[in-house]
Amino acid sequence: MTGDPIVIESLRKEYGSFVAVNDLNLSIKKNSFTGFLGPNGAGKSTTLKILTNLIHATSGSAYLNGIDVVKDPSGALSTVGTVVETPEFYPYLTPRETMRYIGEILGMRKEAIDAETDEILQLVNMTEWGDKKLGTFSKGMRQRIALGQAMLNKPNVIILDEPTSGLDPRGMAEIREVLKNLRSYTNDLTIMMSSHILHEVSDLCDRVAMINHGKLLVHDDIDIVKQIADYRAIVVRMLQEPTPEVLETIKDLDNVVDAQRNGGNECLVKISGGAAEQEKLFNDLRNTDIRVFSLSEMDNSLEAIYLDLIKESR
Amino acid sequence: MANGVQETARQSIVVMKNEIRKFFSGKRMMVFLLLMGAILFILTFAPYIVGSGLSKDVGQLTSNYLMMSSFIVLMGATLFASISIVSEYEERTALIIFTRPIRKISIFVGKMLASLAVTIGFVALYYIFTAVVSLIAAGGIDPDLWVSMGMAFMYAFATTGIAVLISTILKKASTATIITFVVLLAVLPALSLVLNMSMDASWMIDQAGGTITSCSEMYRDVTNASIQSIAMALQDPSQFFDMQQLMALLSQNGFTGTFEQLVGIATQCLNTTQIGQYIESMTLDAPDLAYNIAVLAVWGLVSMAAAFVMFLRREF
Repeated sequence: MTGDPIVIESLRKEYGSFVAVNDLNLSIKKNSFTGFLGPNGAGKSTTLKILTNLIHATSGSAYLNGIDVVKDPSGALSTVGTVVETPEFYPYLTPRETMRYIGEILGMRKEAIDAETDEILQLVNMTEWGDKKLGTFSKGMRQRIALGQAMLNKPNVIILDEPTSGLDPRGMAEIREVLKNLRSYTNDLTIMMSSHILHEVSDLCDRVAMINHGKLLVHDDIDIVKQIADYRAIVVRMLQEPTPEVLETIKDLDNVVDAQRNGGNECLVKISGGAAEQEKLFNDLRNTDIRVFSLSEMDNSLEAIYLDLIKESR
Repeated sequence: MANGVQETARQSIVVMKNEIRKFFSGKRMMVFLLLMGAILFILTFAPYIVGSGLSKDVGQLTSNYLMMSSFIVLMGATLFASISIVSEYEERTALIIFTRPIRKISIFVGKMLASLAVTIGFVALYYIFTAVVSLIAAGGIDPDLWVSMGMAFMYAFATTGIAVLISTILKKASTATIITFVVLLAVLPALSLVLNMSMDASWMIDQAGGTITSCSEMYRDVTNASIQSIAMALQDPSQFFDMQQLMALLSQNGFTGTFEQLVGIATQCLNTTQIGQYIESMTLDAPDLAYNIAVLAVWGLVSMAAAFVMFLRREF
């Protein structure tokens, strides 16, 4: 076994004949911020719920700081903070009382809890709400408190399962801001975060692991993963519908690897090469009958790779 | 090992304290207090409203209160214990607490103790109130009142076990509450009734729970006196017929037997005689306290053990 803080070995979870996690192997590097990607039903949440002792694995092992979650969940979670989905709090408690309750469960001294609570409330930008009942909080505020409570007792591993899911754009932005600041709170921190939102992963994470059908597709530094694709993804907008004939015309152009409809009058064109090839595509398109009015590089190449990998694994 | 037990106990107390706070912050506590208040009001003040006033007889007065004490226990199990586990899943608070380094046994024991403590606390208050009223109105206290309270505590232990078991199985707190109430108030007593026809069903929870009242000698005396008078009435034809007039009428129509023979025939023909005999068989005897305590303890322990296994297996 490696010295990585999160190690998953041949992890399997079956629901009857459905295999949610299929002999998954994954090792999360120390002090990395790893985005855990996959479509709905890929097995992301199931994996994270096994890691956080919310569900039982059918077979395999999952280690947190070297301790098997299956055999000793309490020991394995002793220095781990978690935010699984959008958890709820006891509405009659204030954030401070919630921290005190969790701190007492963790066996912390009252003084230590109070001192850390002040720092955490500042970290999640909720200082002025520390003594208000949680029952009155918005979803975004509760999620910030959820992130805060995960930081109590300075864990060295944080597991986040779609922490911005169900939040409005402002709530999402606030959570992302908090996530960016987490590392400033403690030096030794490994974060594993599942998400659907690729630009969020691209923005926050330094590593990415993609799974589908419970199997790992790729796991590497995010920059390396982005380089897996030796093409650019270009969104082409036109005044006409991208019929099969139009798509065939585009595919026949130089450097074009693929062309697919992308909804409405848009199509996604993959070209090999860089800026020069992109310029050539623009010129070539002008020489066809296709009435193109906009051509832009997809701002997140991670999305293109993600879609490719998911497609291939079907 | 010792440290493990100590840590489990420490975490259980933390969970229990929060759970008790939860009960006192919720609407269920309001419902419980309203129901208990209504029962105490009716038992204590309704007799004055209807003009009779409270009985001056300690046994008679206490019996009324004892009859309702098992209902207080059932309310506690239904309103508190039945939601203890299920609410964590339904309200998604489990996502915060269960993902912490806390043993499930600590969560389970903490929640169970909280339900038990709240129910037992209110049952104790109910008995103290009964004692005070009895002392003021009748000038004394039933010497078996505290034995009855002990049996009510045991009944609370057993019913809490069943309620927590239901709580670990179901997905909605409201369903768990309704099912707990129906199981404790109707299903188990009905089963007990059916079993009683063919076997000794004294091991059923409701029968052992009946010791809450029957352990009081005064309660037994009051109840047995009522049973006797009803049984006698049902077995005596003169309660239903004017035997002298019947004799005269039958004699006019050719009946030649004696009056005693007529009474004998009437007694045989009276449909209520057997009911009277059945009712007479319901006379309360002094219960075997040790046996009934054991029965309730087994019900509580077995259902709690089953509940814990279900809780361990339950996934989010």
